[in-house]
Amino acid sequence: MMKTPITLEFSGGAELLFDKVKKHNIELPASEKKWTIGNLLLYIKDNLLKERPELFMQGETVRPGILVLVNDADWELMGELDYEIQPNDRIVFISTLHGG
Amino acid sequence: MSTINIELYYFIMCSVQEGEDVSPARKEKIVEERTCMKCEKKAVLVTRVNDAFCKECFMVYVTHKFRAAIGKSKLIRDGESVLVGVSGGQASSCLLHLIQEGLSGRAHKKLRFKPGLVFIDEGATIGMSAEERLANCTQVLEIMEKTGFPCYLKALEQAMELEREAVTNTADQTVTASMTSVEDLTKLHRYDKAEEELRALMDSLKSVSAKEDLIKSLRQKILMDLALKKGYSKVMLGDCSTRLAVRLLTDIAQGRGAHVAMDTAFADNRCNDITIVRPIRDFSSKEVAMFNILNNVPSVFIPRITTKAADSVSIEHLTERFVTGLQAEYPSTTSNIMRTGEKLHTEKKSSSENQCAICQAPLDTDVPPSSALSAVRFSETMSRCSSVTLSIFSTDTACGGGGDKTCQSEGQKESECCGRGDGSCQSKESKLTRDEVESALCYACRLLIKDLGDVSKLPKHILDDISQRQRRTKMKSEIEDFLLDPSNTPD
Repeated sequence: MMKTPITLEFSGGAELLFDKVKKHNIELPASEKKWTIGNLLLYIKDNLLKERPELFMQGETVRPGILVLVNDADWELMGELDYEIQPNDRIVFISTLHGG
Repeated sequence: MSTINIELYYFIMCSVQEGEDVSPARKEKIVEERTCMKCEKKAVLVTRVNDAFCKECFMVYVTHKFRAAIGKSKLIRDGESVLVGVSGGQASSCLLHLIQEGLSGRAHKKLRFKPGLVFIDEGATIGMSAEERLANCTQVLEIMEKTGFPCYLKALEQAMELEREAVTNTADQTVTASMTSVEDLTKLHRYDKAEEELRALMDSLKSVSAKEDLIKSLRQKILMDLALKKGYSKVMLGDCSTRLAVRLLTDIAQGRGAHVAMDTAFADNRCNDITIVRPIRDFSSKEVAMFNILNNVPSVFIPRITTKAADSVSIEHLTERFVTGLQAEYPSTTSNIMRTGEKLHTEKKSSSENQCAICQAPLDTDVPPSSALSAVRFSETMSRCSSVTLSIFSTDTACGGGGDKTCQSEGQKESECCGRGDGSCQSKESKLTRDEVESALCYACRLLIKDLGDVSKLPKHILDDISQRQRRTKMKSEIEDFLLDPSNTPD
């Protein structure tokens, strides 16, 4: 079981919730379940999100208005929350909302 | 909220035609690998309800949409000077990139207008520190200067100090390529007094919705003023469809229903000399974001008054939440809203006296006494003053009610004006009363100043405009008896 290194990026105002840090290189800890975006979101909420979780997530998924890209492709084409994360994936969260 | 959701959803979604299936397309989960709808290569994005595009076809689609919007309108002529409003955000950065591409030699049938860029620093509205404002301005200016077009830097508080210019023939003015360098940023500190005035005005407005509305109007004033002074005949803004759909619903909620068409159309000609155009009004915010990522377009996020605020802090903020939430489930939401808005039309009034003094839109308040507006005003006056006399109901000020402290009207002050009415009067201005100010405002702007205790906090040029109108009206009533009535002249 290996850790999964990935890159997370936040822009469009979403970075305000992460101490204004836009780029995060993290390693997802080894786990029995496969890492999907759904799990990743929970991981982000517990470990990276500094404030106001309701501005980033809504229930199990991201808040409407936040675009998610996996390796420069729309996550809707990859299965959204069910996409299985591969090592060295680059996942970008862009807020398209007015006030961040 | 959920009942309103459902009702509004049916209003927005349902087609008007009889016999058609009224349920809208709900977003489907994509299970298998999607390929581009045009070229069968691997897709990178899903847009327009359920169409997938690969990178190259998406670029072609976007460029074509941009060029078509400009070309179809036939408004932007070759060699025309166009002022582009850059906020630093994703949409205006996308617009900037599209303009650059369109003007470059590479483009097929390249665009031929002459852009100038302007960035308005709005840090004063949220009490941003001078350092942070400087940092933001530097970042945006760097992006702007790389384009090579003339750049201007403005601050929102400058709207408090604008001088009213007589309308001159702008066609003869040419645009000088004056580059605002980063050193000019020290000019930020020159507007301290104006900044205080702006803060005082903002603080007097209680609701965030009113503040947002005011900021929008002041921003527009600065853009128009700059365009007039520097000889630009068009102002180009980066409003995308998602933003405009939110604007449409917000306008209706705020009492600006009469101006919805102007606020969301491709061309906005509320000011006679300068047309506002919105070339990316057909781009969803998702398309804009994707475009920026695929082209490495830099953008700067600058916080504003509603950043990180609770959902219900303002009407626009709440509407945005509503529209984006609905759009996530039903991808045709914004296009339905925009299509409905396109069917509306604003009647253009002829003279500038029929424009609202704050937002420049045609007055929707100069209506006969039997209108709905008069009814609203009547009930408002009745409910404010404790003792009721019928003489209250007039279009003038005096409230006959007895001693109720909530009554806000003030007595008419005698002005020392010589009565010329053409602006040459040099006598000392007396303060404008609230009713005088309201007579020159549209319905929504009247609501805006409702909480404003002291109307003299408004920017000077607005008060001057209203004073001039008052003098004109007074003069007109004085000489009315001497004017020949066309229907009565003997032949």
